[in-house]
Amino acid sequence: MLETVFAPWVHFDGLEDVERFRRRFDRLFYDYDRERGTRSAGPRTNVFDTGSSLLFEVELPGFTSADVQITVDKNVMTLSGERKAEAPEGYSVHRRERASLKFSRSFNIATPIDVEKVTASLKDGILSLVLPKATENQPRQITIQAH
Amino acid sequence: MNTQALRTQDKESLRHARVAAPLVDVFENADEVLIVCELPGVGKDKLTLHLTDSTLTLEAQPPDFPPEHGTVLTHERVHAVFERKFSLPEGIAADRISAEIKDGVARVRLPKAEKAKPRQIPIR
Repeated sequence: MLETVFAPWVHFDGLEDVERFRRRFDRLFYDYDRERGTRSAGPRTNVFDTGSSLLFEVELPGFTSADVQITVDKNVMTLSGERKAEAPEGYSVHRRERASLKFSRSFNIATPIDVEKVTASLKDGILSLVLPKATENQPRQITIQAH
Repeated sequence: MNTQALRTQDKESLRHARVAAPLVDVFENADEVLIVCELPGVGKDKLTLHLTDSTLTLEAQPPDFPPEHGTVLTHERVHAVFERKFSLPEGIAADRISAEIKDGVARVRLPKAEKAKPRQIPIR
């Protein structure tokens, strides 16, 4: 214990211990945050701008395509759905952390997109949406004309 | 503290990656204990389950960013190794433990050894 306390002053490797502590501490909040996140703000979503399209990854474990609705209205995309997570018949419950999930989440799409070409797929509990940008909004190379 | 340098270290070495605990439900009936675990984005190839003494460890690799993902606009998904350990109660037939994963939800079945099942004793 004494060695750990003095190490930072002698070798900079001592910062490893601080980092380990930080990670453990982060983890406390990580797990807590994760549970609250699912219930209040809707499913966890990653959004990427690939240049030619917007890509959404929505965490929906246990959902099938019948459980989810996707609508795009002008520049607002709304995802909604419901999934029950009941205890199976005939089993007693020791622990319950998963909740039945009913959600509706809307995204403001800042860039004009080509609604006809939007694709959605659901795999391993992740809903992936590809929203191709309307062609005039895609990044273009400007060629410099020689004089 | 130079937090930028520390974060790079996190990505490079999986051993130092963040670990997050997935949500689980645990049920029981006369024949088995059933663990239902939410692992969004995890397919069969990313999930491992191992048993050491009477500790069952469920572990899943973190999701990758999709290829050619470009700029990240919103990042809410947990980018961490999923891990959860369970102490098995007495009376589980360890050699018959089975698991499957579908739609990001894993189901682990821990069958009870015959002698641990509740039995009616007939009165002669």
